[in-house]
Amino acid sequence: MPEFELSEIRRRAFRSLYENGLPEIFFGVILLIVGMSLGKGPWALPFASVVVIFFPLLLKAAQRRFIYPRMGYAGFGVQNSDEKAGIFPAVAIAFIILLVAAFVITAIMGWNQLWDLWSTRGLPIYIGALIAIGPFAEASRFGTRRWYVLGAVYLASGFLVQYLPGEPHYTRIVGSQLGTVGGITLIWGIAFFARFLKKYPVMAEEVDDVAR
Amino acid sequence: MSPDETSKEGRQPIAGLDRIVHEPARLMILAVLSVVESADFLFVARQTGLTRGNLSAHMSKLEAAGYVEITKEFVEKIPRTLLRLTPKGREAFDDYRRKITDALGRLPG
Repeated sequence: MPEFELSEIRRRAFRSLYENGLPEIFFGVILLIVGMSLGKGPWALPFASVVVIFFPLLLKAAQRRFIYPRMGYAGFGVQNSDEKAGIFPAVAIAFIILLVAAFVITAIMGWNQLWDLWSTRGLPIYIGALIAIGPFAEASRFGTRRWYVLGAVYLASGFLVQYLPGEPHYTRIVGSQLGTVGGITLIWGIAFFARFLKKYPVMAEEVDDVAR
Repeated sequence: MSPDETSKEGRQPIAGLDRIVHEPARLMILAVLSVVESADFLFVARQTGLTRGNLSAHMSKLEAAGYVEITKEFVEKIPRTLLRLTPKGREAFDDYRRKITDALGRLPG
């Protein structure tokens, strides 16, 4: 064994089941539908709700169909005692809560100018940071580099979307932001998933038993 | 303490290592099973790089020692063999890790 570090073995085991593009495909679809709902109208919201509500079930079904026959199945219920929880997610969440609280309180106080600033500038940055928590937290926990890149794209979207032409309105801005990052995530996920299917064909049927 | 004396002291914990766990392939299997709740045959074979025949033989020994529990279930009419570390197996694995770390630490550098 090249290295006898349990946290690394756990990370490798996790990556073999989740580093295949499927989670990105599902997350991308959710972001895309929510973004379209906000940007174009509420017609897509029921679809988004269905995808969000059934996300774990859909992901599990897709894993059963495509991943387990190729990589095998493992449940990750047991926490490794060697593994220390990363401090990054807690700090990120605390920072975002503080940021939102500050803006909401000042907005409620009736500072219209600040509300404009918040809705057109602060809100996209906040949304970008919010959706980046997931990829960053999972990347720091399991060492998946591509999720760092995805998190960085989400963060950057909050700053870049402010330069969209046209009259700024917060629903349109956030809708465009989520739609764009959703589309990027979906294409990204499809590319990785196609590569995964090609790299790991279903193994030939063999005796799945233990000699007794 | 001379290097010879250190070596003699170092031999004692090495001699006390559990030979069921000490075998490299079985050590890999136990290490993989120690970080998951349960896993199927294919997953352990993928993670350890062992062939199915080899893995099967080692699993039999681990099961006979009471270190691994093997259960069979059907998922959508497809049989799946699930492998799980027993409390006894986890204890043996943790004990092995402690002893080997201790033994290697005592060896003269």
